[in-house]
Amino acid sequence: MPSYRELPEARVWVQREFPSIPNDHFRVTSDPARYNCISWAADDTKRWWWPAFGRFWPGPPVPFTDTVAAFIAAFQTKNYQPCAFDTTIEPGYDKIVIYATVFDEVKHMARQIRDSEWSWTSKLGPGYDIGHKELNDIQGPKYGHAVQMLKRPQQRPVAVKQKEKRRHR
Amino acid sequence: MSARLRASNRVSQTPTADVLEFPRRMREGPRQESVSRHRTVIPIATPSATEEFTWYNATYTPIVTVPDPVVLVRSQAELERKFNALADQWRKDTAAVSSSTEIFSHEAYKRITALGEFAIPFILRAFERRQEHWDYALWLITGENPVLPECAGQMDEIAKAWVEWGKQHRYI
Repeated sequence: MPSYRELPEARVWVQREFPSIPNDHFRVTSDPARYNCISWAADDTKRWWWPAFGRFWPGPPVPFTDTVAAFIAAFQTKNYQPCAFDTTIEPGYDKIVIYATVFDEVKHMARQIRDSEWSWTSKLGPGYDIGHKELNDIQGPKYGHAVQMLKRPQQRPVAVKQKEKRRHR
Repeated sequence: MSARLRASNRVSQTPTADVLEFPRRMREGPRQESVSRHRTVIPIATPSATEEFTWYNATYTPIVTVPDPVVLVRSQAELERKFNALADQWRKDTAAVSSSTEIFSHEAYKRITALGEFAIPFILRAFERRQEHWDYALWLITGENPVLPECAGQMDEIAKAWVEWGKQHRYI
């Protein structure tokens, strides 16, 4: 049985939610799951991140609001630091981007991946993960605009760390 | 204008006999009958322009005692239909939304919360089927939170805790 992401409905769903995304600018990379774009950017697919009732959010001193400053503070706990906008792939660095409205309300986050064609990955609410070519592919009334980029020295994937740990035992 | 004519005008402006019935009882207070026939009703219904009734029960304190709550309480089937329509609207509008602030403040979600305790069985059954964001509505309605702090953001654990709570309290 094919997974949901391979069904044509997945692409139709994405294009219905984001009418301005060009057909050749995205690919559906995973099925719907119970985490959001913030968790996806933080590389934590177990918990829904948001400063709201019952959701995961780093504790104080990170402000419990959905402003850009609060999200920067939240990701500083993951070693990210604000940086100038540079959408090129920089060897040795992980990059993420915060999307917000003109009222400073955060709506979305995207993470850069080391793929020359599909440079960015986004989790669309509780829906699908997609790979997309440009940051502005998903800009619009739903997610606002990309307003802040953050980067950190590249982290080794968790799976690699676990493998190393097992080897050292 | 005679009192009789005024009364007939009032009848023609109201959509149902129930709506007419309620303000009259409000004015006159409960009938002085045996205590066993009186039941305390938490939600009150008032006529509105768009619907037959609007529910108000935000504080969960008894607002009015009426002798016959049947005139106020919607049938289960009607409530379920309303809940499903509102839930579908909420799911459709928040299908690609990551912001819990936006999910919790959606108009349909607020209206489900406004159904109060009557909505709990429907919410819990929906929660049992899909791990959606019903915990905030349940917390608003009940004032309880059975989810452990260390399970924050884990949607499967949140749903499990609430369904268990619903079984313990015999809502489902």
